[in-house]
Amino acid sequence: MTNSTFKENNALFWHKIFYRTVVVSVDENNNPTKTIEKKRSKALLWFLLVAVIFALSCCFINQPKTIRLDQIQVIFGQMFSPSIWSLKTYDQYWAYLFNTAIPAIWDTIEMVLIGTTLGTIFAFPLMLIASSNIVVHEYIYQPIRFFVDFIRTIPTYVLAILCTVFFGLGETAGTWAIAIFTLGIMFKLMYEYIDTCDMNPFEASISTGASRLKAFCVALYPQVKPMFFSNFLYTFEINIRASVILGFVGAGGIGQMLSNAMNAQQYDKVGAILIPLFVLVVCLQLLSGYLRRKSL
Amino acid sequence: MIKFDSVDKVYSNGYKALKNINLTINDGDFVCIIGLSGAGKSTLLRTINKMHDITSGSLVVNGDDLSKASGKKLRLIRRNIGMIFQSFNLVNRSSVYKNVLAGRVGYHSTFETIFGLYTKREKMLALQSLDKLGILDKAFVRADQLSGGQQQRVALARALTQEPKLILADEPVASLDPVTTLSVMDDFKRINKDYKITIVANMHHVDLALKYATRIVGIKNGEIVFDGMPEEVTDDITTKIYGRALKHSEKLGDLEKHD
Repeated sequence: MTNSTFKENNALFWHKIFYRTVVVSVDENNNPTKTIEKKRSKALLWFLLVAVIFALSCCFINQPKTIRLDQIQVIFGQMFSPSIWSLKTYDQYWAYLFNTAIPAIWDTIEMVLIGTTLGTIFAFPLMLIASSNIVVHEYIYQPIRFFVDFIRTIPTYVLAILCTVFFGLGETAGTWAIAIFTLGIMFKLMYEYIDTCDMNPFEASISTGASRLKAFCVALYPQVKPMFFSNFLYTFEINIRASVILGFVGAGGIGQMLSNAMNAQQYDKVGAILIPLFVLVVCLQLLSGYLRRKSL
Repeated sequence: MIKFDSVDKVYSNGYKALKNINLTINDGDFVCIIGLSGAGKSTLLRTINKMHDITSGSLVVNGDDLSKASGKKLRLIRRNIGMIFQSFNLVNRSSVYKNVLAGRVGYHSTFETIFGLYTKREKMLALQSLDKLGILDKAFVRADQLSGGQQQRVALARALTQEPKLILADEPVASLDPVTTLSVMDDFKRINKDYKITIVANMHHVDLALKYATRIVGIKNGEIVFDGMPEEVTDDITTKIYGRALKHSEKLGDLEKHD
């Protein structure tokens, strides 16, 4: 075999692996008369790769020697009934839930609402500058994207600790942590959405003598508005859940109360806090789902 | 008045879209630019409001030298020029009324635009424009609920609301059916006659251009190969513009039946 035929066979071999033949038409004996080639799907390959990585990870992860499922019953039992050393009766349990937990949750909602709103206000001008179809110059929008992406790499947890350093323990720190966190999410979600907007009305507006900012107001903002509110609600929802974590590092709100109760192993208090929190998160999800469906 | 004086346009990739264009369009004209796809019709039209820059030569629109205009000055020139597009270019999610009012943005500051602070006269102007085109009843309907012909009328109303001296139309009827095409073209004709607004339109259909225009400009490979009255367009001329004579089936047809 000469070197060149070997090369040809080799190329044919790889071609058969990457492409398959699709029949377009057949003659009366069902023999193909016309065919085209289609690139094979690589889905199976990717699936196998992920499966292998998953299997290997399972081998190397530290597995607990025993799994104590019976503890579920113990913990839940303690969480949803009074105990001898903190909330002694059901009256005290409900009083704690309504008079202490719910007002603290209300404080958390206020904190999250202010933080989310502030973050969104900061994100707004930045997302306009970061949109490649509004600001066409790459040397302007790329640095802005890089800057906010840099902020986004800081985990919420670390952000909250940094804020408690700047503003002291309490809700101010939590509010600012949420604001910065929101800035990152809203910025990313919105500039990517603005990039996909229909630019035809924008062009029409420019042709009537509008500046780019005015053209954005009349031609793009109406397209962006429903997504903007939808993302605001979505971010608000995420922030309510994130705020619990923030409390664990002393950034105020319901999380702080939860963290105190857990550290003191007062699981009845933990339960009394979790019940209204659960109700809040579910209600919020339903409400934001409804509002988002309506606005889109 | 629009005056092209040896205008050239070379795209950044080196493609010569316009070559030595000399053309004067008088006030009140209804000019149709005809030619093959890619002949430079669109480029020619878009240089008039500087949506495209020219590479050399001079272009004067209503006394303003466009090659020197930029920023604020260019925007002031543009607000006197309406523009109509093949795909209507309306904000689909907004109401017809809001789309039409957007024609006034050039007369307002950014602050006024953000808060939609239009004067009472402008609001009436927007509604009157819709009335002139017979779609006043659609004023508070979302733009994407309208048919193609109605959407193009909204775009025309938006242009009228600018109170322009000139309307540019880039393939205004190319995405409409033949019957709607004729009624939209009738609207153009009426606007041209009743409000003395100059109209420059790009057209696919020769017979449509001949029916409505007061003047025909034929363009081929970026050069003007014909400039004259519709009556002067013979088969020889269309051969010059399109490379060969048009067959009957390539015309829109049935124009008389509609009248």
